[in-house]
Amino acid sequence: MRGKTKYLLLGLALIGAFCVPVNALAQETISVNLRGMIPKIFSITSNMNETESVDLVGSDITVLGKVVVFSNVMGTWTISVKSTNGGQMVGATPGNTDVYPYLLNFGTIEGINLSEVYRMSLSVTTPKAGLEYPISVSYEKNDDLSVPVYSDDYWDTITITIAIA
Amino acid sequence: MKKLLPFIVFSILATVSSFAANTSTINVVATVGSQLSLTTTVPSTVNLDVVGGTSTALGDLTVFSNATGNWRIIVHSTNAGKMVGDTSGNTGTYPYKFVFGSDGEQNLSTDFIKTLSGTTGSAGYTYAMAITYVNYASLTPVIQADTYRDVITVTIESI
Repeated sequence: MRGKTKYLLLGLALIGAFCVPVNALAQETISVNLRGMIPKIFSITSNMNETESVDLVGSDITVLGKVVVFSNVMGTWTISVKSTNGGQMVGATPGNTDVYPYLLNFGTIEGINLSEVYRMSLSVTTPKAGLEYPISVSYEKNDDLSVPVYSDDYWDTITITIAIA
Repeated sequence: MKKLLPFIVFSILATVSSFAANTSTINVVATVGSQLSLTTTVPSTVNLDVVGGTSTALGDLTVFSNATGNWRIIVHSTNAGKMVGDTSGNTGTYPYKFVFGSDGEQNLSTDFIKTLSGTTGSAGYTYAMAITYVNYASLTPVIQADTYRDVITVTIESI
């Protein structure tokens, strides 16, 4: 009888030692890091031709076209507009010192005098389609000029630049 | 020596007789512990090609269970299904969807929970995982140039 008791106790001890409830709370976890990199995109496009003709005789304004600027850059960036001849068209013929002044219309800003570089600063991410700036030049018609100019071709070069400040 | 022999024989017989008269029971106990595990082929960091693509495979998740009750898989996103920019002040986010096996695309704005029960078989259940997203060129609104991140945690637990 004592032997039976010994075996019974041994059996209970074994059960106690190894029996784990099958449904005990168990948990295991893994993690993954996701990383997506967006490069800087900073661009300017234009529908203007390399040379646009300005109708000095029949009109006092000529639409040149537009530029579209796209930026996803954080911080401030600038658009600058520069005239090679300080906001005037100069005669093509050597010896002709006459000039034909004009004003630039850039987007919603009208009457910009390009005697000095025009700059605008922005600190926005543009819409997907970019920011669009229509460009035109305004001037007095040839007949309305207070001081007539020689007959000639008059030229200027406008340069539009975007830069990260 | 000869005098002792009958005594020894008697002793052995008495012992044998004693065993023959009782029953001994040996309980053999083998316990299979509850096992709920997951393994994965997914690397710790996965780069998403948000400029050149719209999806990225993460790898496989294999879960094993020998539990008799219910258990579940929980997928949690630290940023609620969006990657956030590294740069301070950048509030832009890059949303994505998590693809879990045949359950398809899941929005992790809330945890994705898949409840199962019983055993999986020795091979376990394997789920292919992936991330889908809008290509950056089509993303609206435009977000700033930056590195965007999130952490996905997959947990298996008994319930």
